[in-house]
Amino acid sequence: MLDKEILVVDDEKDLRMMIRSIFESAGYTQIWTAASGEEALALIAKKNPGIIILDVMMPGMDGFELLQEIRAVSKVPVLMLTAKGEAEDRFAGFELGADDYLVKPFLPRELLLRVQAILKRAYPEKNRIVTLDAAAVDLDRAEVIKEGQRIPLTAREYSIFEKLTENAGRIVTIGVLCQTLCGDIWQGYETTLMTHIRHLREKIEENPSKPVSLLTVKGLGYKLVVKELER
Amino acid sequence: MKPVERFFRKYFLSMAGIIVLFVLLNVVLFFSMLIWAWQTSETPDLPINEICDGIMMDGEGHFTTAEGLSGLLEENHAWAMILDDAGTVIFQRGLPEELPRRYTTTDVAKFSRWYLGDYPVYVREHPQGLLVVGGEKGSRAKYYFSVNESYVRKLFVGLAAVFSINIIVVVLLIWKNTRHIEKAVTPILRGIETVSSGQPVSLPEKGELAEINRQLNKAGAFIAKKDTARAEWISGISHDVRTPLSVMLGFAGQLEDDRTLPASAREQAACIRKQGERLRSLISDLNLTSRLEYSMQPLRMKKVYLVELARQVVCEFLNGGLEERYGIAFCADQESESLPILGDEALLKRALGNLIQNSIVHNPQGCQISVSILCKEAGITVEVADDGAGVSAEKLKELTADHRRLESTDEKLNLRHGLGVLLVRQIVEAHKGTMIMESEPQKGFRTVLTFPV
Repeated sequence: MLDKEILVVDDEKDLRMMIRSIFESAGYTQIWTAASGEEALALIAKKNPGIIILDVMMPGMDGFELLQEIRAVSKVPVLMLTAKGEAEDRFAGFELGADDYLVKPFLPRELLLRVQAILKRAYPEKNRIVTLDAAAVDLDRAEVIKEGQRIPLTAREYSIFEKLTENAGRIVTIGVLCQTLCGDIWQGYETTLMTHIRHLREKIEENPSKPVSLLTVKGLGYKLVVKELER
Repeated sequence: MKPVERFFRKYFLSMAGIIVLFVLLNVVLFFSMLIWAWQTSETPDLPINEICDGIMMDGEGHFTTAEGLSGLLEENHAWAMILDDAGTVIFQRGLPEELPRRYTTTDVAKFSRWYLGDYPVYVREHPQGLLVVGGEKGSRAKYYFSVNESYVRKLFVGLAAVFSINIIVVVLLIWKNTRHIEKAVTPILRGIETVSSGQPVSLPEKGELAEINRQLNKAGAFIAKKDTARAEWISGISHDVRTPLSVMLGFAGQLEDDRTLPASAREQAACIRKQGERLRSLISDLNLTSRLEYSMQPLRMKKVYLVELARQVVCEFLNGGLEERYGIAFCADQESESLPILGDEALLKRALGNLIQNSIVHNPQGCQISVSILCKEAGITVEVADDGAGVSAEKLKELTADHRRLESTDEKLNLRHGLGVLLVRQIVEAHKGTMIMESEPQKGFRTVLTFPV
């Protein structure tokens, strides 16, 4: 993941420097910057970047125009940066095919997390194994490896587990988890979710009644504590 | 519109009062005039009774007169005569020469009704015959009429009817006129009310008062334009601050995490980052609050489940690395879980986030925050309470007071406590909800938002 090429397009030199420094200290090595739309298009033709971070407000060709040009030739993930927080702008960006949208001033951590999430989605890795306290989960095969045994996960357990893994260490709300189970109209599925969680715990926890990996956060949701995320 | 209606009712009543006063005044004037005319008329009535009593017949059949009779007649420029049954004058005093000394019954019938040779005369029965007293020529009008009694009654009823119809017609006309003015003026007054509340006004520019309506429309448009300009200005400023602030926040964060730097330098960088973050939330609050203030923020209303929304907001705080000394407890009841309201998700998240953030910012020593979503009769309540320092009654009053800081220009833009509370109130109002704040020093701060279902 760290070897993915990141292209930063912004007319502000300091901002380009700052973003570059954020990713460099996070371990990314291939970071390119462009000061204008034209420059960016030339770089894209040569370099084939893994993700593009794009400022909306630029003199000359603006971010939306550039996005259109990019979309004509490539499906590369794009994260838009904008100084305007208005919803209209956000929707315009998504309609043109942006993958995410971040309003300035953003926090460095926020940018990093969003880029990582996009990369994870866009370039799913093989042999993903999640190591937990009492078991490991092979995401590609949807199996739990516990005490040398392989226990298969049902489709629903898998989608819940995947969502929790994506947000490892963070609380995922009941609503979000229900949504992964049954879409937008999820009200009333809370008990179903609890059942799936119980089954998941039986598979991954040493003592399902005293969970240490899949934790309940009272009233809010669940949190997965991961020991190691192998790639 | 109560004051306007009251005004027109008063106006109408005063007009009716004026008419009553007018009629009364006329009645008084009429009678005073009658009295005046009667009192100042030059010729007093002929004292017929006295004259009659003044003429007597003695035992021998001769007429004698009372002492003052001649004087009395002279004084009144009158004359008197007595006719016997045959119509012959048997007594006279001052009878003009030209008048005959004998009268037929026809003559008597004529003059008793009209005049006797232009002299106004009055007749009276006298023991000796018919007393005829004549006045000066042209001294008095003498009419004789006899009318049917039912005619008189009808005449009076008719007069009363005419009078009442007149009054009714006048009152109706006044009422119609008042209504007309009210109709023309009410939209203008409403327009003024609308303008004063800061809403856009558009009155039809026709009719007699078109000019006033046009001016009012202009005033409304002018105010709206100014408001828009101000919101745009704030939006522009906040926009221009965003990029530099991003750079500052980014580098400060980098320095803070740089393990090669001495601890003190990293602490300073952390300080820069924290203050930068405060500035960041202030800018977005300021921008949003001014947009809401001038109704420039379109509300994206859709079904929102407040419980899940609150969960996500609370999780953002917990996931974002909330410091140890703070805790957030969450609770929701079963009913509110599946009860949606119509709302703007982003704005509601912002409101709730601001309340939690306030508890954190105002309790640097740490506190326990509780967020509860409950279904009540009035709707769904969202309660954010902490067990922190709280505020004094005075400060609470200041926070609760419904003043819009952005509304008046002479009030200084006091951002000491952020725009957080103001923004929350605006968002709640945009959702037709209510907001209650309670606090006591050292007993925490509690905010309850209620949204109608």
